[in-house]
Amino acid sequence: MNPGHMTLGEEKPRQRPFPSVRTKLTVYFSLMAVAILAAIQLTNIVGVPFTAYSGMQGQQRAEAFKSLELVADLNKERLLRLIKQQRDDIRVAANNRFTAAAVVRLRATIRELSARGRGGTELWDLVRETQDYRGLLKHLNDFRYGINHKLAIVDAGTGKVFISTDEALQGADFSEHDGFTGAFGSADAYVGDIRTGALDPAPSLCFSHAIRDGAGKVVAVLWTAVSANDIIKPLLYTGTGLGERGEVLLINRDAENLLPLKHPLADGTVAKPLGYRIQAQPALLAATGHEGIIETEDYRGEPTLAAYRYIPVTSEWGWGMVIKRDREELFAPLRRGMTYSSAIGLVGLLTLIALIAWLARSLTRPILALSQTAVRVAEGDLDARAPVTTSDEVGYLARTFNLMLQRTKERTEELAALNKELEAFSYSVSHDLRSPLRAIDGFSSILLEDYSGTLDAKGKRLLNIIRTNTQKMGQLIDDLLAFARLGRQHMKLTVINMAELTKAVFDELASRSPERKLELHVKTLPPAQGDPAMIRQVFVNLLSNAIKFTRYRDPTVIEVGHRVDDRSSVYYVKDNGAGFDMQYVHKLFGVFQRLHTSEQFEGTGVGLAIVQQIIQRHGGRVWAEGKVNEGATISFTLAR
Amino acid sequence: MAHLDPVDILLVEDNPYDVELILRGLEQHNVTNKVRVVKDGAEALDFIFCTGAYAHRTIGDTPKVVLLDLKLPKIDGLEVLQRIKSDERTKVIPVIVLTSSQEKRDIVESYRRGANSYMVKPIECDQLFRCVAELGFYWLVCNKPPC
Repeated sequence: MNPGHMTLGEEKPRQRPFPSVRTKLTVYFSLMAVAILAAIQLTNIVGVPFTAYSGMQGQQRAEAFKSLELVADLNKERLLRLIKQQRDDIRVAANNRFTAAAVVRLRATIRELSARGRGGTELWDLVRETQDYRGLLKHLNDFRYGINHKLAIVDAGTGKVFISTDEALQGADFSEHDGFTGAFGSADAYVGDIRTGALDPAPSLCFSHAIRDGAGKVVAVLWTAVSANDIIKPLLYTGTGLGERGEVLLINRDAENLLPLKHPLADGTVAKPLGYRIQAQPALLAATGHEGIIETEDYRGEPTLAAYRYIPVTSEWGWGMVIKRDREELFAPLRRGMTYSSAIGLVGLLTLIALIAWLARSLTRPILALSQTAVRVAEGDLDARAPVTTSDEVGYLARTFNLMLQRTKERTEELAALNKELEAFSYSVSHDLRSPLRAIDGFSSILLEDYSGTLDAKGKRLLNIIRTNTQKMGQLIDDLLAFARLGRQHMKLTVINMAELTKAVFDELASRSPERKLELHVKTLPPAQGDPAMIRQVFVNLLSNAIKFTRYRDPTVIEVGHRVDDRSSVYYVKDNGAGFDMQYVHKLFGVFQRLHTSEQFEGTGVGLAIVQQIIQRHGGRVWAEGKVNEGATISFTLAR
Repeated sequence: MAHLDPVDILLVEDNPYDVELILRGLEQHNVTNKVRVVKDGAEALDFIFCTGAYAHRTIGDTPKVVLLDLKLPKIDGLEVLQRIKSDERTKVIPVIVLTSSQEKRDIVESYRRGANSYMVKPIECDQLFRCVAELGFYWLVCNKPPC
């Protein structure tokens, strides 16, 4: 077998494909997975544009503000209810007729005892013995809430306490206290702002109300103090919704803290109630009567979310209240969740990429194995088979590929066997067919020579006919063998100088017919790709045909030229000879096909068949145009 | 039998008609003397290596030239050529392949095995006579043999 048949356009795909399907699959799917993960995370963080969803953080912020506001409103209502209840209670207590009567009687008793010269602790001991005192004390104790709620009744004339739930206060001077003075002017209860004083060392809120006798004259003031720390603070303490570091701030008109601060200040000190003026924005806003929500830094400089409310204690003044929680703390669980989900997402992503890479590899590996098999087959190993490792489409492809290879191998073997037979045939023809012809010709010649005396003219003529035909038969066999050999000949492609070749062949042919006047016109001939010996044969056949068929022309004009038709390079040999009828053009290139008789033009009819075979083996086309008695043009294409 | 006569030309050819024509061609040009014809490859080897029927010959009596056909009974021409050319004693003998074959592989193989010349027998007898005569003239007269 001759593997050199595929010299034209041969290319060996040795290099691995790049970028490979495997790489592309891995990269594209990985990018997609990254994009999806990023989109999910981004949605969680910043939300979906043009929708109500503002991301997990935004959502949480909104909910935090909502709960802060809820707590703020709840606390405000509780505070206002406490104040109103206190005012109502003290009014009811002060306006009680029996109380007023008991106060009037007790005052009279005290005055009487004082007039008798009793004073100091002795006086108060005596007063405690009286019926009225016991009755009033029981009455006051009924109003009292818890242990930190003090009540006292102050004498309107002296400004001194004559009865109190706190015995230590008995005899104390209240004449300078605003709770005492404030109660005189109003028919309603008086509310005094939270403060610390000599009478109430812990910050407390005081309520007072005038007690009048039957004539409407103020005889005493009922006074009560509510400890801010012990009564208001627990009231405001919610315990939930503010986190570990959240806080309720209550401030007075001067923005001073009324309750102890939870956190130390920036300088490390702990602010006492009424000992620190808060400068943070929500506190200042609330103290000046504003309400709302805000995200800003608090008194420590920590970023916080806050709801602030104004608490109108009386119609003239009020407090500010701030409910706040640390932003850091609020978002910490979310951040932690995001970190975890990012980490899990990343692990998932890496797993996914590895999976995709593995999948792409397992997908392309059998394909690569298949193409490696194809390469081996292309290199001549017809026994190579693609490995069938899977039962999917690729496995199916490999199986059908192998089936095709099996068929190819069978066909190749068939062809090889056929070719071998043909070779043996022509070898045999070459050796054995010529010998008898040689004997016929040789012995005819000997007969003519040795027996010329006894042979008459007719006998000599007959012997000459035998010789002529024998020689013609020999020529036919030679041509036929040359034609058969052509198909098996190995081609070596080089660049051929067509102009030089044309002239060389023509000169050689012309020298065989020195009696002829031959004119050759060689136009511009570009070089061509081909086997030099074969292309030479083409010119030998075409030019000798041209010389042969112009035998009866004078002058003989042969033209060899080139043109470009439809991007192919066309060479042609044109003569002004006998030409041919275009209706027989299909017979021109057949083996042993002739359009002229042997008497007109000698020949075996193999020349153009050889030309056609050579040009076709070069991947070109050959065709003829002609007209009887005007000439013929044989054209062929060749790669440049 | 003139077995001891010195031989100038050893013609190895199985076809008697070809033998007759070749001899006539040589005869016409007066080089017919001292031609020995053998009919097959085995006989040719016997003659050259002095074995079998030619055992009485001495190997030093080499022919001046061997005309060798390729298609031969028993042992074919290429084999004969190989045996002659691979033996130190006989490799100097000029061997001219004279055959009907124009096959390229025959030509190449002959030269590869050391043929000194390759000649295709023409069909036309005039040409054949001329070829044979020129061949005899060249190898027997012009050419200087090594021994």
